[in-house]
Amino acid sequence: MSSRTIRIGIGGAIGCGKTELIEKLVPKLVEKGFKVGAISNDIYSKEDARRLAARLGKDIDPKLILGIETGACPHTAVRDDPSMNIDAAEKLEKDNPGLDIILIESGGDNITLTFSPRLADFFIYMVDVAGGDKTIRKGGLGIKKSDLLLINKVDLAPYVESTILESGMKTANVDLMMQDANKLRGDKPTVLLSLKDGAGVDEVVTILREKALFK
Amino acid sequence: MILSENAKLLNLLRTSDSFFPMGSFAMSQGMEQLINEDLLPKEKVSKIISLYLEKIWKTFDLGIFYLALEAIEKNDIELLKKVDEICYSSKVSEENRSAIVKMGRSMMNVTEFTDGSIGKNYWGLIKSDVAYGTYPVVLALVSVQFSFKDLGALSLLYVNLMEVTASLVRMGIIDYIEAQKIMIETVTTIQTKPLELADLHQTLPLVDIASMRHELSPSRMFMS
Repeated sequence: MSSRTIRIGIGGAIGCGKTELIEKLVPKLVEKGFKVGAISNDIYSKEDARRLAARLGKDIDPKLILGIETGACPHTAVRDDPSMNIDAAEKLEKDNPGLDIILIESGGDNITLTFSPRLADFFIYMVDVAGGDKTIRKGGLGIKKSDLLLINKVDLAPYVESTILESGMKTANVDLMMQDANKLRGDKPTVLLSLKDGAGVDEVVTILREKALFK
Repeated sequence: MILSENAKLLNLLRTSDSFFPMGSFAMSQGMEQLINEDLLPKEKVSKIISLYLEKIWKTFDLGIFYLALEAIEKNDIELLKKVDEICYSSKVSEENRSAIVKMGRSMMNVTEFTDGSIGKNYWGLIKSDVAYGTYPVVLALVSVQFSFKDLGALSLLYVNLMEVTASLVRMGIIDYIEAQKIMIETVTTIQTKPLELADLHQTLPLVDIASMRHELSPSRMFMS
């Protein structure tokens, strides 16, 4: 669909839903006519890449999914020295002419994560409600500077204790998380997600089309 | 201690190597605040780094290093202490004062000084909090201990340069290739020379103000 492949970096804490986001996004992007590949970073294994290949096998050729064992801090491989990821992205682009999008999943990390501008054109940062509703107000590069912030597992909010002193609620205060995000991020978008049932995924696709793919 | 030329140079590299951090990995010298307040557009990164070099490191920190070296060569511990005090008190923001002492003391911690040397004696003053142990002063002591002496000036400039450049990479402002280009551009033309006490100065108010504002920031990635 496009002459240049757009690289979208996805970062966030361990278990926040990065791999699942790719599993939910890819079929929708393919349905819209985009040719999509994915690179999954793991520190010690290629477990996430193996899972992606198994679950996305009906949507894309498994050859479009590459796993990288970074063997170092996850942020090093996508920020300080992204050469392994750049090599992988260039290989995908070379082997698959006409590739529109590469989704690059970072290994699970902390709030200081960001992507090297040489590696990713667009940066998605993810947190989840189960990690505590105070996460957003703590700030950090991912939360403040990412192009798109996703707050996943909102369906779990009633089962999670609020960790914000001023919350006024016993359980996780998603509204306050959204307010905190808007305060820190200005005009940049934040989306509430429940990947378990797919809520919010269409909104993410719309934002990606408008702000990353420009179509 | 008599060291070969190779040993001197390798020790110089070791003291400048960011893989063995002495606290500089956690510092940005005000860069984080400049980025947070959108005061540093990407196209001005190279320019501001050259300003750090020309207005702070070469005109102040480097001068302190040379004055400390002079005091060590005279075996004048009181003069060394005075230079250390000037260095500490001339850093405008608390976090920069704290940073420069943390780096100095970390470097002291990994150095074994010869018994009876001024380095050994000064370490005693630092440990008992009689002296600050700022980084340029400690580097001068280490430079004498490992006999690379005034080459320590290069280490000082390199470590500072790496500190702010790497902070920009970690904040995603520049990438690792752009960082290398800036480093090459800067180190290729670098010159060092001793300064008199009266010539010491540091004039980059934008950075001092950013550092002071950084102290009040509720969410920080770097200590300075």
